[in-house]
Amino acid sequence: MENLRVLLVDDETELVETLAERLELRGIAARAVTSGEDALRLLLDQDFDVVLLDVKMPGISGLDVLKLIRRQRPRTQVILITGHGSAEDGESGVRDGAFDYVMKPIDIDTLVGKMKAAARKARGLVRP
Amino acid sequence: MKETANVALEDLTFFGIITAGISHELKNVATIINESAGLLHDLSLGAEAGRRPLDPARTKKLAADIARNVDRSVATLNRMNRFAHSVDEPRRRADLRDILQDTLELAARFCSVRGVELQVSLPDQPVPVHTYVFGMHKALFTSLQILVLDGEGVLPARLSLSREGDTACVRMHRGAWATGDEASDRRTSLERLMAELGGDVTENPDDAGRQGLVLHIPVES
Repeated sequence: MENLRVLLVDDETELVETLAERLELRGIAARAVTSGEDALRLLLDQDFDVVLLDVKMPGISGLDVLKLIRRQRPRTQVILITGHGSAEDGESGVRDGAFDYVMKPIDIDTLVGKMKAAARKARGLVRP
Repeated sequence: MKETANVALEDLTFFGIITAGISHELKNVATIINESAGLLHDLSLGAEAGRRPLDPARTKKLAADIARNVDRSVATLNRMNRFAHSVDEPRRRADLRDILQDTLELAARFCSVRGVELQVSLPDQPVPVHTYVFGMHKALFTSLQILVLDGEGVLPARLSLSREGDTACVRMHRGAWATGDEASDRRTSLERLMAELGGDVTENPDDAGRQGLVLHIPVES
């Protein structure tokens, strides 16, 4: 997949910065922000294939950000990050339009696989 | 009998909220450590394969990130341990500042995900109390719930502890308080908890006219 662009959104600064660097090493262009508000601002004028979005954040919640992204940027695919012990939050997010979800701690290979699949959908390379 | 069952359920619910917050915090820390260790591994593989040299400054920073997050997890575990032992004795001597500080830390996520910033002021001198520590945690947390869920308007919300003679006062202020069944239940629950702890709760606006709650707790002489 050429020039995969992802936006990482989590209120844990160290997490998003480190994850962005790991993704860059794998050839993925990653931008990191620490709030839903910042993510929505950035999405107004920048295009991303995939948004990796924490479900629980201070301010606007991940699930509310998901709904706004679905309206503003319907092609952009969202992968949720959940810190819950069960898959409940993630599955509820998928019902609300998320492409998929990952659970903390994150397995990088699984995440990259899901990001590539989400980007193929964002670029219309697979049927929805 | 029904009242005892309700109190037991309330205790369990409180325990659940606190432990959910702790597990969330520990999972975040584990995730950061996992990513930092993963990045160290990625960079080492890159150096091994001759793609790029290992930068000592970057390596040291990542090791420091891991160490800092291990400290963060230990602090959380210590708080969790103190909280778990708060049920051990029906009453014991404690510094109310420590109990309040632990409650605030345990409830930090509860407040922050709801966008409520707290401005906290604690005295320099100890505030000794002889109390049921778990009950005091619960009363303070119920107060925070009122402040966060039922408080309206002005932020940051203010919370202060002071000693006034034989009484410790925990004051909380926001613009106004919401009404409704849930808010009323929380208020009733707080009044009962404070009575069980030998104190009480009153409503007092501050000098700026913000609505406030004041918890009065007897201080051990």
